[in-house]
Formats: sequence, structure tokens, C-alpha cells
Amino acid sequence: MNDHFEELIHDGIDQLTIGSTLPAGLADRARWQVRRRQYQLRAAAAAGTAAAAAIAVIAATSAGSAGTTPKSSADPGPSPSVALLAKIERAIASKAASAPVLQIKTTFPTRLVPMPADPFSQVQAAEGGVVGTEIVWTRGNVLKLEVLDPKGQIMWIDRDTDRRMLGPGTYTHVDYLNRYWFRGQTNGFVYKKDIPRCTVLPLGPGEPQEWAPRTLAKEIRHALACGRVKVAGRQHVDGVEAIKLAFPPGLVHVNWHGIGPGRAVAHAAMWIDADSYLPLRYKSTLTLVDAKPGSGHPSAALHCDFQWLPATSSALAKLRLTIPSGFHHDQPKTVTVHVPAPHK
Amino acid sequence: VGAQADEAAADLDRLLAERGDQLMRAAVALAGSRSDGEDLLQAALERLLRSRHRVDSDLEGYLRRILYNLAADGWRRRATGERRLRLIRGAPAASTGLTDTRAGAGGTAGGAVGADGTAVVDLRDALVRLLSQLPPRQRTVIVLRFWAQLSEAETAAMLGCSEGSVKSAASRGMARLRELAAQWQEEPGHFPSQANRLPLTGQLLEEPR
Repeated sequence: MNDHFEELIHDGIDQLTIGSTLPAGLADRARWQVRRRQYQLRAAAAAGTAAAAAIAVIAATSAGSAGTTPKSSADPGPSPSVALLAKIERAIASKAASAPVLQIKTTFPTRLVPMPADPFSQVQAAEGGVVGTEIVWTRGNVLKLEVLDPKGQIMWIDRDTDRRMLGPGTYTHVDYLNRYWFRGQTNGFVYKKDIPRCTVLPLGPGEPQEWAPRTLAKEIRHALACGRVKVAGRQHVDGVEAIKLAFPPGLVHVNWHGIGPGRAVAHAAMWIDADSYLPLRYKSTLTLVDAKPGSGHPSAALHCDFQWLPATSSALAKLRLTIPSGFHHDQPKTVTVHVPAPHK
Repeated sequence: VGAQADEAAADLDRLLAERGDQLMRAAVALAGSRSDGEDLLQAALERLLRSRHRVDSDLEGYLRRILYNLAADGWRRRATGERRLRLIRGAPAASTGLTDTRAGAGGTAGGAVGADGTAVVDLRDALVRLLSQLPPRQRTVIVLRFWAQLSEAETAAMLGCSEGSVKSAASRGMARLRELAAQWQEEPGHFPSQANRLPLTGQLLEEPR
């Protein structure tokens, strides 16, 4: 280094790079991409496409494996979840093309109030309300969410007409407990972008109970991208044979009824229809890890059931919202939802 | 084979645990922003994983060579070019991780030198932004020579080229950088302080405090 100009460049790059740390999960993402590429090449080779030539070159330089052989002696072969992912993505894309209404019914444990993602549920928590069931109907940009108490009474309904995952949007909120409604805007989730999505968390942005047909495949791909999802065998869900995918555990913030807020470990799993490769059920078991002394470590499970409804008039009616007579029209509101960063 | 694969994975995990932050810094320096650096390092890791059977020893050295060569070969050149264009046009800096010193950002743009030396900070930042306008090979050589402090011989070995090529790329890169800096200085307000002009001939006109 022989002059100030070079020194300025050195210090400038130092300034740019200082504090840069290796993002968590980067190596896992790289491994996943490599496996995915290997899988694609093999799939193409098996189909007899032009990619077979590339496979042949690779095979010739490795331990004499054939292009169509699923496993070579030189590498562990494609992860089952990568192969499965391609089938799931194709199945969802094919299903979404027919523009059905996706219904997702989530059953919450009665002792648990979803806290961070939904400001209204925080209000309900403050009022002693407990969510029992949440039903989402979604098609295109429209999403309607109906929240019921454990007795099946409607607590509130939200309807978004320009649904965008994690982005700003407009919605109508009808509060059945306090008999008012308003139209509002949300600034979207305030959520750190570079947090690795190595798991599916039941409460927060991207929560499975609010997936939409066009984002479903993307959300599942995000969850699988870290390469830590395990295929945990086959089970029956309501009589249907399903493939169980187990996600790595994650930490979420919850408000435990009667105990208060705290963090819970979420162990999540998803069941995929073994025939159609469409998601059937998602289940998350939450165990409180930092409850007040004496509260123990309560555990509870929530689950979501996915159902694809053909776009009949009765299914489309589920997306419509009618304001009950006598409900007070409140001022428009803007809500910014602050979501605590999930822990790895 | 399974045991070998596990051992190789463990070696890589160990390397990243011990040296991951330094590798990430190098990637950010080469790519020009944190998000691009992350993509570049991931691309290097993918290439390493694909050619792992060729690595006998010095895993870090091998990974660094991949990283430097990807950067020098214009890794994702088109995307980077688009980003550069956005930078030049004064797009929001948040997406690049760089501070925009031109678009009225802060009180030092075109103004007085801050007593706390903020103008120097902005000046360095502006230079790094200009660096992103150089061709990939010149930029990589400058990063390796003047930031990573590699000799011409070491840089040549890393990039698999002759010392003469390194010398030539460094010389052309620095000349171009000075030229770009001079152009910017012709337009008032682009550098943090008119009083604290860039030392195009190798000397600061005024030593920053």
C-alpha cells in the first residue's frame, strides 16, 4: 500500500464488511441446492431429455455410475425430501391452476392464545377471550378468516382483498364480541428478511393456517430449503395414507391462557397425501419453556386441516363477508404488526 | 462412502464455524453488498460440494480460490450489473447495504467536514461504490491486493493467472477508479466534502481530522 488512495479503498472495504457474519443455515442451503440439482439432472436423464448428456459426463468422471441410476457410489444420492418436494410443488401448482377455494381449519388448544402475529388476538387475550377454531378460505388475492371461540361462537372475521404475504394490504374487520366493524390497512409484518426459514412456525408470518394456494408451494419450499426436514414415514390421516414430514423445532412467542406470555418450542409436522401429494394436515406441538415459576412446562398442540374446495357457488360464498345489522361502523385503522424474530 | 461423506460434511461445518465470518467478509468485499456476498458465498459452497472429492487438504484455501474466481469471472454478472445501475441512479441504499451519500443523505453530503470525521467515512463509502463499477476481474484484484493484502504472486496463484496479469488488472483498475472519482468530483455534492477532495495524485489535499 503506497498512497492514501489505496488506504481509503482498504478502509472503505473494511467499513463495508465489518460486522458481516456467516448467515445461519447457509451451508445447509448450499447442500440442498446441490442435491436439488443432482435430482433434476437425474430426473432429466431418466426422462431421456437433452440433460442426459450432462449426466453422462458426470457419470463418466465419477465411479462408473450410470446416468439413470438413482444412487452412485460417490455421493449419498438425492434426499427423499427433495424428490418429494418436486412432486408436492407440481401437485399444488396443478391444483391451484383450477382456482379452487383452499380451506384451512385450525384447531387451537384452548389454553393457548396466538400472540405476536395478530393484534386482535392480543386484544382478545386482554379481554380473556380464548380462540378455539380458526377457519381460512382463500382464493387468489382474497382471504377470509373466521375466528371462533371453543363453543363455536364467532369472535371476529377478517377479510383481506389484496392478500400479499408479509406485505401491506387492506382488510375488513368485524368484531362480533363488541359489535363493530371497520376497514383498515396493515403495513405488513415487520420481519427481519434474512432470518433463515428452517422450520414452519405455527404463529407468525407465513403461518400455515393462513397459507394461500399461490404461496403454499413457496412456503413449503422455504421450509424444506434448509435441508433439515425429515421424511418420518407413512401414517393415515382420516383414513387417507399420508407421508409425514417432520420439521426441525423452532421457538415461538405465545400467550398461555392463565399463565401469560412466554416462549414455546414448536415441534411441527406435515402430512402429505401419498396419492395426490397435496398437504393434508399440519400439526405443531408447543411446549412452554420459560413459564412463571411453578407453572411447569405446559404443552399443547394445534393442527390445521387443508381442504381444496371446487369453485362452486357455495364455496365462493365462503369468501364473501356480510356485515351484521346493528354493528357500529368504526374509524379506519392502520395496523403495523411487529413480529419478534423467530429463534433458530 | 457414507462415513467419508459424514467426515467431509463435518470438516466443512468445522471450517465454517471457525472461519465463516472471515469468509463472509471476503464475499461481501468481493460482491459489494451483504446480500450479494451471501449469494456469492453460497455459490462457492455449492461448487465446493460438487467437487469435494478433489479436495485433499486446505479446505479453506480451496474454498477461497473458488470464491475469488467466481467473483473474478463475473459471477452473476448481469444481476450485479443491474444492481450497479440502481446504485448509480441513486436507488434506495437499503437493498444494497451501502449508504447513499448523494441523495441528500446525512448532513455531510456536499457540506462541511464533520469534526467527528464522518466525511471520511462517507468518502470511503463513496469509493467502495465506485469500486463496484469496475469489471469483475479488476475489482477482485483490487480487493485481494489492497484489502486482503495479498502479494502479486499470491493473487496470481489464487486466480490462476500470471503476475503480469495481476499487475495489469490492478493498475488499470486503480486508474479507472481515480478517473471515476474525478468525474464524480466534477459534479458538486457527490462527494462528502468539496474541501476534502480525493487525493487523485496520491496525497490528500487536507488530512481529515
